Amino acid sequence: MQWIRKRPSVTRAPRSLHARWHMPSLVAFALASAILIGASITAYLTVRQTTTSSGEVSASAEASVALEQVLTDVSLARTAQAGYFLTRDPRYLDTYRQAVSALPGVLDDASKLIATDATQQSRLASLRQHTLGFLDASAARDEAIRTSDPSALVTTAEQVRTEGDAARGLVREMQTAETDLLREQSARADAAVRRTVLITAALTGFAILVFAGAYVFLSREIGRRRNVERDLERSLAKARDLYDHAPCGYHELDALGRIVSMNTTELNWLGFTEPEVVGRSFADLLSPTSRDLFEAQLQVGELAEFREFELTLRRRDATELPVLVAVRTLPEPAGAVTRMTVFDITERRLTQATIERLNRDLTIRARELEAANAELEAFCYSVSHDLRAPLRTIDGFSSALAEDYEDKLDEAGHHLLRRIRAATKHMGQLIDDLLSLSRVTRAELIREPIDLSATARAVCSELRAESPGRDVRCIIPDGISANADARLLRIVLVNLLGNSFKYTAKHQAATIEFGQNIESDGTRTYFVRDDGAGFDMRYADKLFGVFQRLHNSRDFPGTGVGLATVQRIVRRHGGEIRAEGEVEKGACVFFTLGEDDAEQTAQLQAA
Amino acid sequence: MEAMRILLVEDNPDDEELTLRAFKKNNLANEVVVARDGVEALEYLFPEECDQRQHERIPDLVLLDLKLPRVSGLEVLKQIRSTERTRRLPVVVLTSSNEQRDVIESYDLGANSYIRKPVDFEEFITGVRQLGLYWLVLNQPPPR
Repeated sequence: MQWIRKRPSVTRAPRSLHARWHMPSLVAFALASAILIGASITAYLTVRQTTTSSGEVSASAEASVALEQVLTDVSLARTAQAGYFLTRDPRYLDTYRQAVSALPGVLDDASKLIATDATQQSRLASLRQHTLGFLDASAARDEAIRTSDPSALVTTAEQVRTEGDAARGLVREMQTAETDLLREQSARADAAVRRTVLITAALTGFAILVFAGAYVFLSREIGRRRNVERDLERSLAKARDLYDHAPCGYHELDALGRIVSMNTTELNWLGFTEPEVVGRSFADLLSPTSRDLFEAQLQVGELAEFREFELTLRRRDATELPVLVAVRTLPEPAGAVTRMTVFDITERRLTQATIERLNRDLTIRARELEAANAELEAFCYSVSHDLRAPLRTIDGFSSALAEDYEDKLDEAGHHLLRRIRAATKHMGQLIDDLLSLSRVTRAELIREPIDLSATARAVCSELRAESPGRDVRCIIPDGISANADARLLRIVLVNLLGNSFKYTAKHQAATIEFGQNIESDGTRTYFVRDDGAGFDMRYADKLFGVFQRLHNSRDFPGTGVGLATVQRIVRRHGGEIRAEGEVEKGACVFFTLGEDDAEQTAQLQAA
Repeated sequence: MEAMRILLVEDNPDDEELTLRAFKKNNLANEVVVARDGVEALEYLFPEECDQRQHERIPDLVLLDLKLPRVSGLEVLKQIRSTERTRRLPVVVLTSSNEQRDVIESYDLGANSYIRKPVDFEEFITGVRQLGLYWLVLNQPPPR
């Protein structure tokens, strides 16, 4: 019984459920975990990247601001410078000095914030120079204004402008560079983020697929397991049913010979319910004689070997049940277990008794038959001797009388004597025929392959020799054989061919034929045909009766026993006989010899 | 030529008479001694020591019926064949039985011939003639 359903594509040998589960699920989970870890790592890395990028972005922004601060500071210084120049207010001088002293700091701040790009750094260095230059030039211009030196006014104004432009130009350059850098970094950051999102999405997607796959697999396996469990339950229920309602009894004993379980059949036989027997010693259920036998049998024999013997059980109502048991003791870790199969042999015992009785009857009957046969044998023997002797006497002395008193008797007297002699001869023939008939019934039938063609030819020659001068044509084909008793078949042919010879005697020429017909199913029918006196089909059923004749003995002599003998022989072979005829056209006798049945019987016996 | 002596062992007086008549009809003018049962036959063939018949010669032919009172024909045959003096004596079983076992036993015990007595007297006469001609004329008897 296949309890576990196979997967359709499995080519390996089916493994246990656990083994099938283990590998793929492990792989799936490992894969899912790897994917998730991978995704997390990627995300983490990208976040860090983003953080770095943001840091860089804010750094760039701050740098721009710091650079602006430089310009602002410079402007402040200039304004303060100009103010002081105009008003000579010491407050403006303070502001100027503050601004100028703050300038290096601001520049340093800016230098910290701008990119470490070499170009930017050199620009910053130039900026430092130019800012200071600007301030110096501004101071000189102010001086020139004060002194109203016209050439100095022009040059200093030029210087101021140049320095200022340079400084501003540098700042703008630096700011643009920083902006470009900022843009670049933003773009990179965006790209990185997009990438991360994509990867994360993809990995998450994969993870979901893996989980989905795992789920599908799991639910399928769970489904399978449920099916297997259901099949298992069903099988167990079936087995339980088989066990309980088996045609024999089953029970199990523990190491101390106490009943552990018993199936329903046996419980029903004994008339107990399960609780009533469980825990009781099995010996309690045996008749006293059986108890000893059972104990003895348990000692003998190897463990785990089957032992069979007969016991008598006692039912709940104390009646006895004869059984045949098959016992096996198996050693188990928890203690030896004895399992027994119980067969109710009540039927068998009855049948045995009946058979014995029938056999006895048969033996008696057979002996009676033998005795009867022996008597018949003796009777026939007597007959063959004792009945013929007086006949001989009658015939002999009649003949003697006819001879010795020949001239003293007239024709009528002689005629009477002739009739007497004819009658005795007839009676002698009758006795012979009857003896032959009874012998046929008693004789043992020995079947063997015989050549009927040869027998028929021999009989025909004998008949011809007895009636020389007759024109009789005998048609006997070669190769007609049969599986029958040779002696008895000879008697058949002697009678049938003899009849044919007899009943064609009145015809000038005669044709007698012996042959066989083989039917479609293989049965062989033999026949003897002649073209002689024939018979009226209306009286066909009388043909085979003992002493029955369809012809006058004046026309054709005979005792009327011949065909009865033939019929008996044919019937003893298990065959059938029938005759067809037409007055003055001839007759044909058909017979079978039960050869197929005999073959079948022989085959059965030989088997 | 000495007349041939025939020992006819036959219990039935009718059969005896008919057989003798048949012999006469066939001019088998022989001496026919009749024993009416097995005992008489044996006494004739094997006389007591001191009996003067010992000197008589044994018959040339024995016609033996089987069903005889007291001692049966087959018993007689057995005796004949087991005695040196009569071992080769021609014995023709002449009986009305044609039971297979009679025929078989007769030959087994050493009969020379087995003839069934026919009911028809004419046939019987013919048979006796043939028998006589054969055994007494044609057949070469064993030396004495």
